[in-house]
Amino acid sequence: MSDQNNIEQRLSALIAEKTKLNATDIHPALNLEDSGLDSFARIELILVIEEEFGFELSDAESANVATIADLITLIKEKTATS
Amino acid sequence: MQARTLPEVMARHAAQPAEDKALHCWDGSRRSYFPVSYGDLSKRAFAFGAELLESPGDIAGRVVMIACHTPYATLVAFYGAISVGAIPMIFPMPLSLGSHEALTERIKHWGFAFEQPALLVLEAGLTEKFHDEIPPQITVLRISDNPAGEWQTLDASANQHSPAPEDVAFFQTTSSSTGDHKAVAISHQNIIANVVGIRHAQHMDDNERMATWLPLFHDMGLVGTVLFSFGNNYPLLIMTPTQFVKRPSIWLKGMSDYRCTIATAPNFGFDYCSRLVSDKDAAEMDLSGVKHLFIGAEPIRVSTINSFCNKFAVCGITPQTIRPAYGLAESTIITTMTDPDKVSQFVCLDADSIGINEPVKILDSMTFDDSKMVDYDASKMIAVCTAGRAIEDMLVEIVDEEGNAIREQGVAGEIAITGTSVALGYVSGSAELIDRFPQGRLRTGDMGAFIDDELYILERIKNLVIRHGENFLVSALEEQLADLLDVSHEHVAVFESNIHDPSSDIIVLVERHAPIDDAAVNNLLVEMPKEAFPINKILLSRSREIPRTTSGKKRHFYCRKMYQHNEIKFQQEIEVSPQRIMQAMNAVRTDA
Repeated sequence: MSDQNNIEQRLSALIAEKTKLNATDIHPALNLEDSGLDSFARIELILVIEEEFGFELSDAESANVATIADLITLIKEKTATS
Repeated sequence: MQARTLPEVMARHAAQPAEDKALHCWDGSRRSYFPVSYGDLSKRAFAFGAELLESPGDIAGRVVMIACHTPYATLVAFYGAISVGAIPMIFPMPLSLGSHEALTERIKHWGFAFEQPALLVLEAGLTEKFHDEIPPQITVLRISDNPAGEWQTLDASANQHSPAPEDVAFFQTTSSSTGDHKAVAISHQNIIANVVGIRHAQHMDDNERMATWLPLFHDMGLVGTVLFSFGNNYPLLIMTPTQFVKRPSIWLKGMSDYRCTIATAPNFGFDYCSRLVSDKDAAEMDLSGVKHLFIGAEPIRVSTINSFCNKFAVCGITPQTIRPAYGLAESTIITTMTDPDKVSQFVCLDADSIGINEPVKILDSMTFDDSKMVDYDASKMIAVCTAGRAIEDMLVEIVDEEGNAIREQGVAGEIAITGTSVALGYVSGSAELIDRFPQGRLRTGDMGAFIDDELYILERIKNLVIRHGENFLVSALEEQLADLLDVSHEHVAVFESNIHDPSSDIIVLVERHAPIDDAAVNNLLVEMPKEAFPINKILLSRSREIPRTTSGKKRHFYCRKMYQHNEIKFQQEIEVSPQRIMQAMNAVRTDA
């Protein structure tokens, strides 16, 4: 399994858990603003991601994430440098 | 002699030794605080003020919009603007607003609301895409987000600006909903009066220390902690709301490690700590030095205070530490505070007895350390904490709908305030800049009563929803929903089902003759502004069901009362869930 797929699967599981959405509704183009999460829940999601992948995102990095694809890119960057 | 303006406070700090009292900024990546003395902060702000002077146009009275994630950059820009006579205005960031678009929209509104386009201060870290959306007429200044970096400094204001106490110091935005642009003008005199008033009311000395995570675009974060600490020369530990939400124990651990004596938070902050801080972490902290935990900004739940006191008793928190307070941006921040020398009281009231010019029926009263805490029926009773008494130079009155004072104890009415902390007025786009409050008296839109000479906040008359300590004026949202449902905004009312429960459902009552079909609901869910708070339920009534005043104004608190008593006659009820929103989104994608 590629890193990309691995990250995507782990991320999808976290998002499904947080949003209670079906896994089939979660895809790279999904905008987090459309996922039913309010701003508070989005921060909680970021925390879960930080704990899952072992790094901390700054407020600016967190704010710049719009889609699942953005998150995957950011996770790859952070895991490569941490 | 007491300083009379913020530039005077800055000048005093700048004259202090470099190692003097400091702002300690939480660095999440290093898991530690980075200190910058108030003297250095002031000198960096003076230097940033000099940069502002280089901008095209006059700087005196010019609005400076500040859009920064980190508290440090925000404060250098804020004090820098004040040091040269500009008027700073701090904006919430996309993480709070819900989207970059919401911030851009705000910048576009306020950027052109005044005679001269406002300046914009952006922090490193905002995307280039965001920069492209800023209209070219708005001059953008960049500021570093790194307190440990290289900074220019100046020993004094670059243009020797010396404002009068009654001059405008900054503009405070008062609500967070989209399309609603409301701000109040705060003077130097307002700030100093409030900062001094809080200190005197709480019998504080020169050795206090504070810790905060509150947002700086909010009055409780900016005035209630940052300006309060800066004005009184108290060290302040500061982290962002996001950092707090992710790891609330850092806030409390900082208070333990630095022996802090004061902290402030809305109800949800205390509730959040009780739920998420582990017993193990609590047991390792020493919070016995904490003297004042101020709670306000949103309705205070007795159960929250009880849970917090129980959870953190192990590290030294006592019921007397908890200090309910009442305030709003229009009174700079604090209006009333509870007595620091006694445990605060709360009363259980018959919910049905609450109405303007009506005596409230008190069923029981007790203090937070009272062991006889009773179970009560939340549908019929409410437990309300005291908010204490007015701070010095402030007068609080209860008035009826015509504005006449109600003198009797225990009779409810609207809370009206006057005094030196009452803001200059609302910011307008007119040449006068400010719509001043008539006779300096502010009718708050909150309902209260005096019981044993202490103020109790009972209800909310104004059209406002409060979530996580943030205010959302719902009038703009009602207009948007009305457009989507093809009715006049007069036929839509948005209200919280219980203002004493910060997690209660948010209801939309719609007067519309035709049923709401799925297409209309889908439009509504898809087109709903992203930054709006979540709606839980839509009720459709075919008759005129929204209660109104004789002049036709909607009475949201009566909507709430009717809802609580199942008295709203509706023909259709639609539950709104994240899954429902996703279904609507997917339907749009499929159609496309």
